[in-house]
Amino acid sequence: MLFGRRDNRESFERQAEKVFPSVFGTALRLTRSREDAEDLSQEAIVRAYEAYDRFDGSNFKAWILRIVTNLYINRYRQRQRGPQLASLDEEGTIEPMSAESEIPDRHLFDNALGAEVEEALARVPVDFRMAVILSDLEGLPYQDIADATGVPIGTVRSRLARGRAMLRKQLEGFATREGFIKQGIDE
Amino acid sequence: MKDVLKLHALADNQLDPLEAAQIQDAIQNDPALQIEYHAVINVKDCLKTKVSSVTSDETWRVCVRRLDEIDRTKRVEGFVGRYAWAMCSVFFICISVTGWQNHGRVTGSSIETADLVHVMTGFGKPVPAAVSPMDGQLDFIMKRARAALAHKDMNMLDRQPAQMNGLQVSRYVIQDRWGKMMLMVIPAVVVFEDLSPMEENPGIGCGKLGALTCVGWHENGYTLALLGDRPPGDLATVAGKLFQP
Repeated sequence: MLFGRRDNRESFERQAEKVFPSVFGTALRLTRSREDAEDLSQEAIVRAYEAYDRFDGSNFKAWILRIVTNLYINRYRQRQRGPQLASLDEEGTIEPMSAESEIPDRHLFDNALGAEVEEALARVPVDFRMAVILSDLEGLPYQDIADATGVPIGTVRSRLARGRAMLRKQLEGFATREGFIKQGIDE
Repeated sequence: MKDVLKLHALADNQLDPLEAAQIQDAIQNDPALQIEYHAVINVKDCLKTKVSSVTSDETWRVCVRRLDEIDRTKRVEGFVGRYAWAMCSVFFICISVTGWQNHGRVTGSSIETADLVHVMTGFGKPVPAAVSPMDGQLDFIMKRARAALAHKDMNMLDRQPAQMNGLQVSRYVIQDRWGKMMLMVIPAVVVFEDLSPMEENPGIGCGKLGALTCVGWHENGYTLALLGDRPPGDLATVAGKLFQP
C-alpha cells in the first residue's frame, strides 16, 4: 500500500511536471493575475493529486486542464474584474471573421509581438477566451473542451469562432494604434 | 453560419473524414470560404507562434511541497487508521493494569478529611460482616478501652465496620455523661489531614472535622481518632482514659 502510494506520487509528479506550463499558462490567461494564477494552479495540482486514483489514464493534460477550468469557473470567475458581456450574445449570428476586415493578415500578425497577442487575447471575454486557449494554445479536442467547460460541443464551436473573430478584431485595433496599418486602407 | 463553424472545425481537425472532404470541396469552389479558412488558420498560427509558454518554477516547487505535505498527512492518517485498534488496546491494557495494581493500595499514608467524615457519619462504604477481619485484631487494642468503658461511666453504644481508602476500619459510638463521641480505629499508621500536634502532647493531633473536634494518635500500628462536640483537651482526656496514649 505504501509502495503503491509512492508509485502513484512518482507517476503523478512526472506527468504533472510535464504539463505544468500548460496548467500555469491557462491559469494565468484565465485569471489575468499572476497571484491568482499561482493559487489556481497550485490548487489544481493538489486537487488532481487527490483525485489521481480516479484518473482513467487516457489524457492527463486534458484531465488536469478540466480541473483548472472547473476551479476557475467555480472559484475565481465570480470575482473577476469587469462584466462578462460577451456571454449575452453567444447565441447570435456568427459572421465570417475575414468579411469584417479588409486588412491583410500579414499586417495583422507579422508585426504583432507575443505580448501584444497576449494582451489582445486578454481582452477577449472569458468564455470565448477559455475556448480559444484550450483549443489553440493547449490543443484540446472539442469534446475535452466541452467537458472542461461544461457546455455542449455546439457551444464550444460557436465560442471558438466568436473568440477567434474577437481576437482578430483586437489585433486589428492594435495594428491600427501602432501604425502598422491605416484603418480601412489596404497597405 | 454552419459553414463558418465547419471551417473552424476543419482548421482544428475536428471533422470526420467525410465532412472534412465535403468542406474542403466547398472551400475549393468558394473564394469567400477560402479567405475565411485562411483567416482562421492565420489566427491559430499567430497564437501558436507568438504566444510563448509560461511557467513558474517557484510555483511548481510550491506544488511539490504541498504534495509532500499531503503525503505526510496521508501517511500519519493511514498509520493511525490502521493501528488505532492496537493503540487503543495498549492504552486500555495500561489503564487496566495500573488500576488493578493500585486497587486496594493506600498510597502514601494520608487520609483525606472528607473520607474520614464520610465514615464517621455513617456514609462510608459498608463492609459485609463476613469479610470483616477486625474483631480478632482489635481485641488487643480494645482490651484497655473495654476495661475503661466498664468502669468509667462510659458506654459503647454501637460499632460498625466501614471502608476508607481501601482500608477496613471500625467506628464505635461511645457515650459518657457529656454526650456522644465517635472512635475510629484504622488498621494502619496514617496521617489525618487538617490535624496538627497538640502543644501539651505532641503525640496527639487535633483539629476540626466539620462541626466536630477530632483528636488522633497512633497505637500499636493502628491509627485511632476520637471525635466529639467538645474541646480538644476534653477529647484528649477521654482518649487518655481509654488508652492512656
